[in-house]
This record gives sequence, structure tokens and C-alpha cells, in this order.
Amino acid sequence: MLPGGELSGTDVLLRHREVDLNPLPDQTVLLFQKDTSLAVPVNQVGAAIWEMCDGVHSLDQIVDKLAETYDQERNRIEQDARAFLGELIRLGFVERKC
Amino acid sequence: MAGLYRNFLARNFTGPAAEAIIESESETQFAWRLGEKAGTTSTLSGALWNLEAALCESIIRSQRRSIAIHAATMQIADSVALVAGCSQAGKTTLSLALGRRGFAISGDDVALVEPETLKVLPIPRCFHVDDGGAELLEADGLRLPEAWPRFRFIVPNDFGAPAKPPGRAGCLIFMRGPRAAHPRIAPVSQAEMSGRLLSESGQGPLTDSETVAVICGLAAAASCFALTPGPLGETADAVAAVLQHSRPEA
Repeated sequence: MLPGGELSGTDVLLRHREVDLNPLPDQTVLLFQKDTSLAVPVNQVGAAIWEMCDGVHSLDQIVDKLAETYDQERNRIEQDARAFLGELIRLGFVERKC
Repeated sequence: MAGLYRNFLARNFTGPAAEAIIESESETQFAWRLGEKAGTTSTLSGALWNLEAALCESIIRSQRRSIAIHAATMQIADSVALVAGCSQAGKTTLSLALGRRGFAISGDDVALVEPETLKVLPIPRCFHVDDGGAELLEADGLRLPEAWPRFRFIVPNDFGAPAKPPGRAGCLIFMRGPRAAHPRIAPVSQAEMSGRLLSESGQGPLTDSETVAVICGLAAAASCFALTPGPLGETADAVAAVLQHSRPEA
């Protein structure tokens, strides 16, 4: 982890156990935290990132996999993934694996 | 009121029978009572408002397995359109403006969703219209019923909208503020609509997961839009155009 709490590329992310994933036909997903009843709508890319928060993939590995799939610059993907994961951590949906 | 709520009476409403009573104690004191609930207000319209709110609450409690959603309801052929939003978002005024445009409005505030069938059962509460709303609606071309100045509310039947059996939602619209110079209505993902509807839903006896599943199911079968309202006439025209093209999936 970098100073100030920012994610480093080697940080491994883990989904909170009390979050349900509800896929919808338009490929979007609703994440729902059961203990706080907080719902967060997520698009297809967000859903893919969520699936990779499995306690195995690091941020760098997540970004690598997304870069293989989506036609975007790696820097841009990393920037978006960091922002998204930072928000999920802030909301308590994801945590860094120690 | 029995006519207004006949959908519930026809569906084996099992709540205990209770007399609805309003008594005028003086020109400035009106007492209302529904079963054990009672109160006093200074106006007849206030007493009617409170009596109707108590009746509405009893109906919601009687439909134990349903989820209440804070939304106005319109019938579109055999399906239902929901316009959801927080209090003061403008659901009532928009509903009435859509009524003027020929849509069968069946509720402006609360609808119930059956978890098993995802059918929507509007609660046909009276539409409470204040002076500001009346001014906007009259400017939009709506002729308010003669009784409005006395009671300050309108019932769906004033538009000749008969209560229909419950249908599934074909179109979901979420109103979000603040009001803009011109209305904007844009498709949103089913996940976003689910999240927004959850924030305007009552859970009832279902578990959190069951409630989420029902709301997601509702959004999954419908076209979903976010509406930033603008001037009433423009907003109603934009919503009317969207509703005319929305039908539920099979």
C-alpha cells in the first residue's frame, strides 16, 4: 500500500463476504451489501473487476486482464480501475488482503 | 372510497372492517376517525387527507407480501409505467399532466409489487394539489374539477381512468433533481434503476436479498430511464413520448 492509503499495483483485493451480486439482462450488476442495505449499480467492466477481487489478483493483474479485453490505453484503464476500487473500498464492499 | 380501492376489495382484502368518519365540530375543527386512528384538523381537506393516509397505510399493511415503492403509476395498454422519485420530486404534477395527455393514471405516490408475479398494484390515493401545482397544471391546459377548491385533491376517476387489474411494469422512470431549464430523459442501466428503486422502496416482511431480487426483476423486465424535469409541459411531453414506445418484455 502506498502512503496516504492509495492502492499500489501489488495490492490484492478481496470482496466483502456480505455483498450479493445481482446480474441483470443488460449485463449490468447491482452490488448489495446485506449488513448495511447499501446498493451500488455497476456496469459490465465494474462487474469484471468485482469478480477479480478474489483475494488472488493484484491491482496490476486486474488491469492487465482488462487491457487484454478492452480496447483502451493501459494507463486509462489503470486510472479508472483505481478510482473504482478506491470507491468500493471506501464503501466497504472490498478490502485489501493482508 | 370503496370505488377507489375496489382492486383491493376484489383481491380479498382481509383487514378488519372499520368505519371511516369525518365530523364537523365547528367551521374550523374537523375530526376524523378510522378504527383506532383518529385526529382533528382545522380544515375539511386536512381531515380528508389524514383519513385517506390512514386508509392507505392500512391497505399497505394488509398486503403483507408486497413491496411498496414510492412511485406514480400509469396504465399503458396491459402494462404499467412507474414514475419513481422522492417526495417533492414532482410526481403528482407530472402524473396529472400525463392524465391530461390521455394516459390512465392510477396512482401518484405508492405502488405495491407482488414478489411472486412482479405485478404492480397501484394504490389509487387522491392526488393532493396545492395552489402552485394547480397554477402549473392550468397553464398546461388541465381543467381542475369543480370540487378542487374545496377539497384540494383530485381522484383518478376524475380523468375517467378505471381501476385495472395489476400488470407488469414495462417502463420505469426515475425523477432526479434539481429541475433544469429543459427536461432530460435518458436510458439508464437496469442496475442503476434497481439501486434507485431500492432507495424508494419499503422492505415489508421480505429479507434484504428477497427485496433486491424483486426490484432487480422489476427493472430487468422494463425499459429504464432517468428524468431530470424541466418546465411541466415540456417534461410531460417528453415522458409521454417515451411511454408510448415502451412495452413490457414477454
